[in-house]
Formats: sequence, C-alpha cells, structure tokens
Amino acid sequence: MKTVQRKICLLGDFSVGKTSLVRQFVEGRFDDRYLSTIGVKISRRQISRPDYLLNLLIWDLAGGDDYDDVTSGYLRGAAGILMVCDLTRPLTLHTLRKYRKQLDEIKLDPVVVIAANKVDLVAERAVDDSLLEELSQQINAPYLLSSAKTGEGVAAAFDQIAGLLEKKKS
Amino acid sequence: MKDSKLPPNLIEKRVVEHLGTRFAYALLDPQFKIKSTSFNFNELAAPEGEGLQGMPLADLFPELIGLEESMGELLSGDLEALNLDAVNRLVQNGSEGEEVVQYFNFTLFPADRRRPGEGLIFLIEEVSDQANLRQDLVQERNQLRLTQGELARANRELQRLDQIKTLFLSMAAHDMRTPLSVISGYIELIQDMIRDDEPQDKSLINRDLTIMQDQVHWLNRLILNVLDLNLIENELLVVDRQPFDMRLAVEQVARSTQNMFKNARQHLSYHVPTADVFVLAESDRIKQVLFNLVGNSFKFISRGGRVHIDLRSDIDRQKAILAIEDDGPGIDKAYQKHLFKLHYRTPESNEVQGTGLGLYIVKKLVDQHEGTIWVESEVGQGTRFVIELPLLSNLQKVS
Repeated sequence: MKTVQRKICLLGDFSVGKTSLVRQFVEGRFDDRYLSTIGVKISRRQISRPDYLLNLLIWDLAGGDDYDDVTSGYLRGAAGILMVCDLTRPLTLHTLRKYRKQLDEIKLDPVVVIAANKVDLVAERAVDDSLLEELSQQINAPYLLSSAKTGEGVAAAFDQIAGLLEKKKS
Repeated sequence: MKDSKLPPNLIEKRVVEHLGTRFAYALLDPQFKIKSTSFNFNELAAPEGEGLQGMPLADLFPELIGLEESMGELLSGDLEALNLDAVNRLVQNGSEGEEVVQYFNFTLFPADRRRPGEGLIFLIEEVSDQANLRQDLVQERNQLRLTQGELARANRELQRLDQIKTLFLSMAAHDMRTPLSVISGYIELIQDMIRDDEPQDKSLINRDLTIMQDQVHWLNRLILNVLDLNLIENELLVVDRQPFDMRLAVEQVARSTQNMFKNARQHLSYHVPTADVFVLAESDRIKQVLFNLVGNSFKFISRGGRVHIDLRSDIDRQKAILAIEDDGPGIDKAYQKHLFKLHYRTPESNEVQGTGLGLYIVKKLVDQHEGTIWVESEVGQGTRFVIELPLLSNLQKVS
C-alpha cells in the first residue's frame, strides 16, 4: 500500500493543551502536569486511510509568544495546521485569529482544523458553541471539541485534517 | 565510513573548544545527501552512526521532512538560510541509558554563496543549557499568566456575588417591610379600639388578629427561605422522609392562605382525590414547597385573579402529581429554563417583590424528595407548576 508523508503543525496559545493532544494521539496517554514547550517537538504517527497509509509528522510548536520569523520557519512545508484553543479561556480564541492573519500574510495555505480543547472541564467552560461557530467562520476552518485528557475528538481532529488534505488534492 | 569525515584540523578543534558549545556540520550534495561531516558530527547527530556518506540527511533528521521545497530554494539561491530553533530531541543519557530531552538549533545554507547549486552546509548546535534556562523563564511566565487569569476570573465572580448579595439584602429587607407595616397598622387599629371605652366587636378584633397572623406566617416563610439557602449552599439540607398523605398538605396550605387571598380580592381553590396520596416525604417541607408556589402565584395574579391547587395520583406511573395553576400574566418561553436558578428574576417580575429564592429552594426540596418539577406557561395564558413525586406502594405504607 502506498505511504504518504505529511507535516502537520499545532498552533495555539500557551497552556491550551497542544503537547497533551499530541501525546494522547501518539502515545495514548495524558499527563496533568503543565510543562511549557520551547521551540518545537516533532512526533510521528501513521494512520490508515482508505487507499493508503498516511505518515503524519506532527510539529508541536511553543505557544504564547507573539508570532515571529522563527515560527514562520517552523511552518515551512506544513500541509495542515491544527489550531488549538482552550474552552475555559476565551482569550485563546483571539490568539487563533491572529495566527490565521499571520498565515495569510506569509501566504501559506495549509488545511486548518480547530480543536476546542478541554471539553472535559464542564464546570469551567467559558466558551459556548456560538463563539466557536463565529471563530470557525472568521478563520475559515471547521472546529471540533476535544479533550486530551479523555481522548475525545483527538483522533477525529487528525482524521479531519487528513480528509481535508485529500479533498484539497482532488 | 570514516573517510566521510573531514580531518580534524587544529583550527577547527580550537574553535570548538573556544566557543565552548557543541556544534558540528555536514556538507550535503544537491540531492541533500551527506558528502562529508565535521570530525565531531557523530557525537552530536548520530552517536551510533557509521557510514554516513551518501545517506539522505532527512533519514538522520526527520525534522527536515517537508522542508524539501525550502531546501530547493537554498540551492537555487532564492533563500539565504533556513533556521530551526530549539528542536527538541530525545537523546540517550550515556551513563544511565534513560532518554532526556536535548535542544538543537539547525541551520542550512549554501556551501558556496557564488555557486549555491553545488550543495548545502547543515549546521547543528546543541543549545540545551540556554533552552533549559529559557524553559524555566517561559514556564514561570506562563504559570504567572495563568494565575493572573484565574485571579481575574475569581475577582469577577466575587464582584458578581457581591452585587447579588447586595441586591438580595435589599429585596429581602423590602419584602420584610411589607408584612411588618401591615402588622404595625393592625396593632394601631386594635390599640385604638381598646382605648375606646365602648364595648368591642370581638369578631372585628379576631379578623384583624387573623390578618396579622397571616403576615407573621409570611415573614416566617421568608426567613425560612433565607435559612434554607444557607443550608443548601453548605450542602447541609437533608429531609426526614416519612409516609405522608399529600392531601393533608394541600388542605392545610389552602386553609392557611385563604384569608390572604380573600383580603386581596383574589381566589384560591383546590382539589384533592378521595383516595389517599401517600408519598415518602417530610410533611413540613412539602408544605413549604406549596406555600412558596402558591405565594408565588399570589404575587403575580391581578385583583380578582385565581389560583388553583390540584392533586391527583397516576397509578400506572406510580406518581403523585401536584399542580399549582394561576391565571396570571404567564412567563415567556425564553425565561422558563432559568426560573429555578438562584436569584433569577424575569424582567417582568422586577416589578413584583421577591428575593429570587423561592423557586430555587422549591427545586432543591423536590430534588431531595426524588421528584421532578417543571413549568408550563404561555404569555397571557397563565402559569402551571407541576411536581411529580414517587407514590408509596401499599406495602411501603404499612411498613
């Protein structure tokens, strides 16, 4: 069966759970401790698609600092981007709008999916579906609810990116 | 293949020693395969690697997969350099064999600026010390930002609660003043009657005392609600459930509030079935629920308005069904789902006295009795609150 490699980057504010999402997706585990990522951490996972195998090279980028030239360097060659926000911190949605604007400025056109993370923290949720729909329209990307802790929506997010990549190719 | 390494000349070694950093480099051909490496390349990039010559660089550094286009731009001279800063790599710790994270900067640039198509130089530098310091700083900064965010949220919540508390106190004080003024008025009336030397009409005095008693009950219920709120918020509200015939509660509450309705030129009616309606409940709490719901309807109906209490059993579903219906103004659908929230007041209800406690407490009490409560209402069509409680079986009644 044919194997295809694609680079996928994770973008989002600090502490939204990017590293935890990757860890859940690649290693199937969750760690409650928060450890800021510096630079970039690259992981791999293969997923099966109907006609081929897809090797995902997942770039977990540091979040929180203003987007700069260094981040642009990391994004080179990215086929897809998983933008991550935190359902308990409404300001993290705003950060994604900035990322979208900056992607447009450097003329990158990867497929984009939004993961609205920490859906397991029901009592602390501060972002409702209408805000997510608004964000989804503004940055022209579908969204789904995810939890790196429970695994909800994690594989689905990467599957959705794979599906969009196929759609874009055809 | 050791011949792929450049001979370690003295200058190169001195430069590495002088800078005190760990860096190495490889020369790549136009297909990005390794042509040769610095003497220390293996130490940094491929501890167990032998025969690197001819190996695609991306086999050794998968971090470069996806960057082929940019590397092509380097070869064509369209790009001066490509940097990847602080790339995290898991590296075996020599002595213990455990994996540790090390940080590296990668840089790619043309080997010959005048003839970029000849090949590229790949420079790798270990920057773990700086990156670890940066990590400490970023970690502290981010933790601080998270704490600031939590404090700001807590502060907003405290302000909201403070506003509710102030509003609640003002509403409670207002609610309590009304029955107190009524009582005070009737006391003065009775005092005037007593001052007159003429013989008094006992029935008149009795009527006034009854009105005063109603107002005292009203005040008492207000205070009970405030006390219950305290119990609920501290999760101390418990009910002592015993077999109890709901008909008694309906009859007693109807009797106790009848005068209140009569004096306001309003009407209260009730219907109970001939057969008993036994539930497992604390009788005083069920009466409290009824007082709150009847009192609520009383506040919203106009002069001449009606409130009806209906009790029946649904034997098939084993439920006691208690409904309190009125011909008041009704409640907009948009507000209905919020009615049982603490301190919730519909915009229309702001013109009517109330603390926003009654329905919240009613819901909590019904929950404690394993029952359900809901509201059916249409604007202009009146309102109906319905409570369902599990019926007691005959066997349970006996036991």
